[in-house]
Amino acid sequence: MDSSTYSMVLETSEKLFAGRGGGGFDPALWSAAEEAGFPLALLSEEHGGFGFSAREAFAPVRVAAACAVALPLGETLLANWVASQAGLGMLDGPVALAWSGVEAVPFGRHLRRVVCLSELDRGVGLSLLHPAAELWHPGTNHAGEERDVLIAIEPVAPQARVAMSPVALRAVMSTLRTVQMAGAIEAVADMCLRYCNEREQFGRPLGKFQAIQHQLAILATHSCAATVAADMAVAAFETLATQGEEVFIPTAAAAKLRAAEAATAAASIAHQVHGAIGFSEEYPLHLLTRRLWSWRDEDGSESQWAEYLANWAQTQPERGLWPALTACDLAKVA
Amino acid sequence: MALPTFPLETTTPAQAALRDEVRAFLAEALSDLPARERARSWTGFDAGFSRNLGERGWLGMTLPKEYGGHDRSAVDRHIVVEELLAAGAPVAAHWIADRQSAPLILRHGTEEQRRTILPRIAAGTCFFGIGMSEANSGSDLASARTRAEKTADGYVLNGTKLWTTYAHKAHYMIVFCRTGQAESRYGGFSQVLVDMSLPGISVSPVLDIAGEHHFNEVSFDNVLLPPDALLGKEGDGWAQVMSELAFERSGPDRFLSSFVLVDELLRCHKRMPGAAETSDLGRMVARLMVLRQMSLSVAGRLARGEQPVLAAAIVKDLGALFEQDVPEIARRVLRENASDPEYAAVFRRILLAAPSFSLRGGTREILRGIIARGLGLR
Ligand SMILES: Cc1cc2nc3c(=O)[nH]c(=O)nc-3n(C[C@H](O)[C@H](O)[C@H](O)COP(=O)(O)OP(=O)(O)OC[C@H]3O[C@@H](n4cnc5c(N)ncnc54)[C@H](O)[C@@H]3O)c2cc1C
Repeated sequence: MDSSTYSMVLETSEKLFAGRGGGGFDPALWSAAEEAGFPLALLSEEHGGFGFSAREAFAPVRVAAACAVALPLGETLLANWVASQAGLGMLDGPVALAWSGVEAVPFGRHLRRVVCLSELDRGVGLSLLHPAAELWHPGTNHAGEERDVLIAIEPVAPQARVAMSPVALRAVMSTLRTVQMAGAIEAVADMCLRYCNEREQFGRPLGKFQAIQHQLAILATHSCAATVAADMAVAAFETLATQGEEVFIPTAAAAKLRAAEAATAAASIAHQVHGAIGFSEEYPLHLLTRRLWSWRDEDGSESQWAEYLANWAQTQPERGLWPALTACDLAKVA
Repeated sequence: MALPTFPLETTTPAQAALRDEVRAFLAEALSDLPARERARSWTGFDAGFSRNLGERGWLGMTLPKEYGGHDRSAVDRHIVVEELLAAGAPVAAHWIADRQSAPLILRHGTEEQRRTILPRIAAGTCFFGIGMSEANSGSDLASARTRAEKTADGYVLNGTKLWTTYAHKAHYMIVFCRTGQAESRYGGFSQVLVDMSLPGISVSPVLDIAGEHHFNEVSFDNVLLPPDALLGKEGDGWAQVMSELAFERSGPDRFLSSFVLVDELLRCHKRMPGAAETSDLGRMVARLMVLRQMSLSVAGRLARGEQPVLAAAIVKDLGALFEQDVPEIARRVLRENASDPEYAAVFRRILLAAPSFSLRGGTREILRGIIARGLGLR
């Protein structure tokens, strides 16, 4: 059951983000989010955070996504979480994790620093970078969110390390996208329902036609699945310390895949039931659907995670897939 | 918006132990049952096996102890059911009784009906049939014509039910029928508890597309029912049957019907990293993992006394799509491999069963109508 903290966080984020979406990075909104404590919410109190549960800490990320707000909120949340695992202390945001190499960095040009990640023999190496503005090669995802590539940096020796496998850390980063997709899909479903109740053709609201009703029903099933997927990944993230990577990684992989499948279906249905207005720049549907099309392949494409999970399923010992599935069930914490 | 919630369930150590216990029992009990038989899923019939489960306390789990049950939660039952289905255990004999007839009798039955019937269901010795559909009354159940006429000594039942699963093995059928004049479309219906040994009942087989016999046509020709055959209140049949369907729709039997094929596929598939079919497999596993948690969440809500009708419809719709996609995914993944005879037999069994997954227990279109109503569109 959800805590009162959870409802409070939800309410605060809704107040903060509702109606603020659609634009680019907004420094004033970032400051407000910082003031609310959102970017540090995963840190324990001794590390300067609030000791929120993962579910509470990810709630503002979900709401921001539902409102199409372009902020590196989840990125900063996770960068700080990783940094605290490595004993690096609190990092002023905005800050993001980035694998060394040529991968695009979310909101790169707006970041105060980058936590650069490198695969070590055992664990992941971390180094803090403060790239100068001119070192960013600007880029965007399908939704116009900044995805900038850092050019011409010398390889730096890691300053710290986390005792976590690289694939587990990738799964942590993908969980951010899963949560965002769940938030945006629910917002898409909401928008479709409202539109189909209002828009009339042939003398009736669209929602009175059975063909449309069934499309919206399918959309609802996907939205519920995506929400459960995100909840699963966040809950498994929460128990990373107790249940281990063996539970978290396949759960996060499955969640990302399922949310991505839902994103594809949701965007397709939403554009269909909206007709031409949904295809126009003025109407806010594309703010969500273009994000969904991006997020489903960010932090591990759908195909990569699918391959990972297939491999996981096929390398289970003698007893087969089923025991591996039930071993991923969340244990009740005493 | 009116989307239902699916709060995640967590598993207690006792529940994990229950799962292990059932799994260990099944590994032993089913060791000689080939995959092609296990692929029958919940249409595999074995009365001895059902009795064995009853002896172990794994039937009638949520019924009160005073009626032979075990006072366990819906989540405990869900865990046992999941293990049975994942292993492909032959559960058909007790399936309907345990899943929906027992809770229906517990809720609406008389004290006498509860005392005489529920302990036998929990023991795995009393089997039930669902008497809803008729030739001209499928999705539109309110057009049913079977009628129980009230007389001085009870009722006289006339009419014909169709598609009645395992009526030829059932001790009782709960028949949805007219008992009164319909003042409204949904009025005048009742449910009656029909002892299948009564004179005037004839059961004839209807074979499915694989030539298998599980469902039947059941005719009632002036069958004399005692007054206590009435289940629940006269005239309340419609509401009762709708709540019965909620039990019928919520469980893991709605997404695990083709699980034995998933297992066989993984056994036969040689790993080829990077191949397109590998990602088909991964997506299949992802859907299954999320479906499991959705269904478990519905069980949790049932355990808390809620009636998650909308959530159950959503799980059943997604579950049927999954079950039906499994053979199609298997075809893509195992391109040339039908050579393993056990795999081939399992594949055919599931392929030929698949059309029923989105028909039985309420069609896909009817479920989507229910979801649309839940969304406030109807
Ligand atoms: C394997 C199996 C076992 C069964 N076991 C039992 C049993 O034990 N007891 C029992 O009572 N019944 C049983 N049934 C019957 C089952 O409940 C019915 O098949 C189901 O309710 C659909 O009815 P129908 O087959 O008459 O199809 P119809 O209702 O005639 O439907 C045909 C098609 O039209 C669609 N349709 C109907 N109405 C609408 C509408 N308003 N809007 C849009 N589309 C619509 C349906 O979705 C379907 O696609 C079983 C069925 C199967 C396949």
